[in-house]
This record gives sequence, structure tokens and C-alpha cells, in this order.
Amino acid sequence: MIDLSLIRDGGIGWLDASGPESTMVLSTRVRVARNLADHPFTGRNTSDDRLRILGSVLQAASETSTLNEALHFRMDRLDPIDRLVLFERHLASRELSCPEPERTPRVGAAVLAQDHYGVMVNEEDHLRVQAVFSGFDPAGAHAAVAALDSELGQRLAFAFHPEFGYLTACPTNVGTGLRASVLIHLPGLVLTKEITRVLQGLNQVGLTYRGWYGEGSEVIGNFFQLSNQTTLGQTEAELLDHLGKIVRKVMGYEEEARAVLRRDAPHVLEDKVWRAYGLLRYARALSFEEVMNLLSGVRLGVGIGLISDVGMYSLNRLLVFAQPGHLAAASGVAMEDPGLPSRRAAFVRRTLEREADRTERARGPDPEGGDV
Amino acid sequence: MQCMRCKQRESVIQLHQIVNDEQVVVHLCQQCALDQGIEVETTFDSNPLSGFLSSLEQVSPETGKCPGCLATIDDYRITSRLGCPKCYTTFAGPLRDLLRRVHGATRHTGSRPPGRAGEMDRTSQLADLRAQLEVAVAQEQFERAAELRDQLRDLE
Ligand SMILES: [Zn+2]
Ligand SMILES: [Zn+2]
Repeated sequence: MIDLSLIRDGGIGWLDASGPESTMVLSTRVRVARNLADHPFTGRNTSDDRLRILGSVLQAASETSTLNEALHFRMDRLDPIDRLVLFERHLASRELSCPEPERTPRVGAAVLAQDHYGVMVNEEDHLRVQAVFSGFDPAGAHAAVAALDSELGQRLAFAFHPEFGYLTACPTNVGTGLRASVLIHLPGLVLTKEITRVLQGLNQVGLTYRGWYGEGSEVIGNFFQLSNQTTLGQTEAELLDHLGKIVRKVMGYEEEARAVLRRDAPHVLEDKVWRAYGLLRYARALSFEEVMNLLSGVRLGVGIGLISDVGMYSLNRLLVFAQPGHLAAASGVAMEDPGLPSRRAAFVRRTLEREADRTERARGPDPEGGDV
Repeated sequence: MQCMRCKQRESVIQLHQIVNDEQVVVHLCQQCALDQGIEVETTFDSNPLSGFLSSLEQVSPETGKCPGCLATIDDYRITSRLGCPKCYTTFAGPLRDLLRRVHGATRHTGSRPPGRAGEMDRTSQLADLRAQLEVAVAQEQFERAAELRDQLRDLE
């Protein structure tokens, strides 16, 4: 079993909700795709190539200021449960980690992680260099990635073409190789059924969206990953500026939708929020999807000021630690264990009870007698 | 690429629109384009990659192989991935069409690797321009070839 506590914050420091707008936006992730000039791309190289690439990347990373103490995990040497945990923690992509037990990661597939930073090695591209920041912070995440990219670029010969820019295995990533994605919670737009229009609008301005688990995954818990679709012909700053402006707009639409709900259907909304809280607080068996959807209701309740005794950090932690792989790994049981839903419910219940106690103590004696 | 409006059919055209002072590229399928009153020739390639693939076939009919990785058109057709960095130079001409469709642009304007902003690039840039020129001549794109010759002269 791998020990992720060896990485500061377990590689998920962004859960602390310390960033801007972190009630609505969970995290901002920026990654750049890079390849070494003297090796074929991953689809056409050999195990030897990939091991040599991994060796070069590890050496270069150890000389940088931000990955000098990075932990690295060889996907091809991990048990399926550990690969699933890395995948659920958003440290490794589905392609790299092969979280499904019947699939085998390619030789040399690896991930490096330290603080906000991570590098996936031998993914579709030789390197996917990334930084994840709490809340809505494209500039912060990009500055971090750019600094690391530059340190790595002084030590590794990245494939670069004067006309096309950074060369990538898939032409859809060529140029800057940059993908910025904002993980945003949009329950108001979903409840008012405005979401379809907003998502269509995104497409028209060159943005795309994905679900909770990234590429090809479905939307659960009303979480959307919004990201830029094109990577060539604009500078990194232009791409981020455009994404930032559009995401700000979406945040505005979400606020409007929440205001409409509070004005036109306040009782329905209150019932939805407290019902979600009640189920999470008292249910005895919960599926992960159910937890995600209920947490969405509670998060909305916190966002509009209905619920005050749950912290964002705890809500965020539940999103990660109630996932099947995390729960099974922490309980030391198999993924297929039939007791998982009740373990999940117990974990959620304990977390919310602790939160209630904590805020109770912080508030001191309640002069209004707990009237809602 | 999927049509951005119906999100079901393959897009066949791209429109450049100005939204908030910024140019954006919109990809539409034939039906959605017609719905918006835009004429699309019915013979238009429905697969955005097929233009790329057919012009690839014109590049080097004998081998069609990248000297760097020996990847062929069929490899790209199957995997949608290029084989190695050299593929970009080998297939530069047809790739430009693809990039224009996917990104609405062909030229990188962003950051460069450290130490590669100026002089160090010259040799590879020259080699690249020569390779591009060869392709342009082979494809009888004479305007493009003239442009490239000018760029070469400036560099040399
Ligand atoms: Zn359509
Ligand atoms: Zn090649």
C-alpha cells in the first residue's frame, strides 16, 4: 500500500478551500504537455525509451526547486487499488493509471508529486506538467507551472518547432500544450435547467467541459471541469485571460440562478438543502454517487448561507475520501466489499457530527436557541 | 471534431466569430450550419481529418513514411496520434490544414523553451523552412513557396 501522507497535504492541498471563490470553484488546474525531442511519442516508443525518459525526467526534477523532494510512483508496479487512489486524487489520469483492475499500465508510466505540483510521465505525451491551486486562480496555477516548466526545460530538450510550438502526440494539444481547467460547482444552473444553454454557449467561445473524472467522464454532483479547447495561435496569457473571463461569466450566471431560486422557490430550495444534509447526517448506507449529489445540496446550502455549521474544507475532503478507492484503501477491504456503502455512510456521518460539534463550540452558547 | 451546436454530428465547417472583441472558432455540422443560414457545399468532406489524410497521400505517394519514426498515414488514421516530433516537419503542409480547422490558427505565438528564443533556433529553423519549401513546391503551392523563400533569405 502506498503512503500518500508522505506528500505534503497528500497532494491535495487544494482541498483547503483557501483560494479565491472557493465555495463555488473547487480548484484550478493548469497543465502543459511536453515531449523530449529525441524520442518517438508514447504511442510509437518502446519500454526502453520510456524507462530512459523516466530516468531523465526524475534526474531533471530532482534539480528543480519545486520537485526536488517529489515522491514518485511507478504505475506499472502498483496494485490496482493504489492506482485507483492516485486516479481519484486527480494526481494521475485514467490513461496513465489504468484504475480498472483488468488493464495494465504501460512500462515506465509514472507520476511525480510535491505540494501543488505534479508531473505525469509517459502519458500520451512524455510529460504532463501540472499545478493545482485551490479555488479560482488561473494566474497563480499558470505561474507555478511556467516556473517549473522553465526549470525542466533548462535540463531536458523539449520537442519544439519554430512554427508549431511545443510538439505533442495529438495535434489538438500542439503549440502551448496548455490546458487550464476550472472545477466548478453549478447546482443553481442545473436546478433552473439553464445549464444546457450555458454549456452550449461555452462551446461557441472555444471552451469545453468534462465531468468529475476528466475526459469522457460523466457529470456527478453538479461539478463541471471547464477548460480551453484550443492550444495554438494564442499566447498562454491570452488563453488564460479568455478562460478566466468566461468562467467569471458562468459564475455570474450561477449566482443569478441561485437568486432566482431563492426568490421564486425558497421553500423548495430550503427543503432540498436540509433534506440533503439530513440524509448525509443520518443515512446508514450511501453510494458514492449519492454522496456526491447530496454534498452538492449541502454545498449549495453553505453557498447561500442556509447552512453554517459545515466547513468547506470538510465538504471538499468528503468529495475525495468518500470515493470507492479511498474508502476501500482506508478500511483495508476489497473494492467489491458489500459493506462499503455502510462504511461510507459512517464516515460521512462522523465527519458531519465533528463539524457540528466544532462549530457549536466555536459559537459558544446559542442565544437564539438554535432556531432555523 | 463534434458539431458545437447539436453535439452529435461531425462538424464540417468552422466559422470565425468575434465574441467580446476576441476571435473564436465555431465548428458546425452541415445541418446546423444550414439552420443558421450558412451554405455548405454538399461535397464537403464530412470528416475534418480526411482533408489532412488525402493531402498526406499527395505528399509522398511512394513511401508516405516519416523518416523519424516510420509512421504512415494509416498509423495516423488508426490512432489519431503522430509518431514522433519529426512527423510535424514531414507532414507540415497538410498538418497546417488540420491545425487551421482544429485551432483556427497554424502558428505558435506563446512561450518558447529557455535558451531557444533566438540564435540557437536558427539552424533548426533553416532546416525546417527548407523542408516546408520542398513540400510547398511538390504540392504546387507557389504563393506559399515564395513566402518561404523570402523567409529563408531573411534568415540566411
Ligand atoms: Zn450540428
Ligand atoms: Zn515521425
